[in-house]
Amino acid sequence: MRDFRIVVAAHSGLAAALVRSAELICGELRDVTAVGIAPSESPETFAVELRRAIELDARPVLVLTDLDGGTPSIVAATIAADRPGTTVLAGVTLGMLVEAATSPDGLGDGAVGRLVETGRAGIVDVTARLAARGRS
Amino acid sequence: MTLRLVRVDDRLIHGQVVAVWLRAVGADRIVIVDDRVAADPFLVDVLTLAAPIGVPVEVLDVASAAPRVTARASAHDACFVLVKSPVTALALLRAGVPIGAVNLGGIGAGPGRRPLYRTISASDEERAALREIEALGTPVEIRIVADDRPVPFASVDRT
Repeated sequence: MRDFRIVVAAHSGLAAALVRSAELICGELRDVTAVGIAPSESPETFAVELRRAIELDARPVLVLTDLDGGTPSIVAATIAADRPGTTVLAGVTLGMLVEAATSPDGLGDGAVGRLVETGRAGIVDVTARLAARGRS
Repeated sequence: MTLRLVRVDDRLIHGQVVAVWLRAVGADRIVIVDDRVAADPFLVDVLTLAAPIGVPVEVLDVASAAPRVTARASAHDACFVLVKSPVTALALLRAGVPIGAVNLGGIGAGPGRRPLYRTISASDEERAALREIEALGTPVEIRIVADDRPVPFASVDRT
């Protein structure tokens, strides 16, 4: 049983859509929260919402953000700095979210590194792969 | 020589947005002017890492920014100045920094603020600062992304 919570933080409707899409694959997800920053929202208001989601209880939290250097990522990093047990990964993909959400254990023992690897390995030039097999 | 652009954006550096603006204004360095950010070394690190690779970032408080940015402007350094609030832009202008134009790029909704234009909100204090900037002879144009047609602040400013 996964012993950490997941917070997806992203621009506009992406966070909620990622969670909905992951639920399409995995069924209902427990302890997974989506927090989006609206185009008209200030970083301060977003920070309050994200902090509330991260600090819900004392369990470890994995924060998955969309863009490295984007506001969700920057705000998540500042919250994580003073909340022990918070790990922030930028560049979330549906594959990473599914992998994290279905994880049977915690965030230790290289689990975070494996998640990063899942994200990277999920980016594939499908056209080139087929061409290499003489299929196109 | 004046600074080509000072941008008001409460998200400061955020992802691809800043990369597009650097290209649009032909700048190769970023100067953030904000008293609160400059006093927080962790936030300085986070913002510095958020900039595109190879683009140097300086974070300064208002007092030390005025002479520094003025020197950069006269040395023809192409720097892109980012501030969170028009109040900071006005302070730089009053301190003698030669600013060609102020770009109003983003201020999110929050306590004391009301909608100004599209996704941009502003408080009475922020509106007063924008009017004062224009009264001092520096135009304020609204452009959220570099591709937007500039909208003069005065055309959307209703009290």
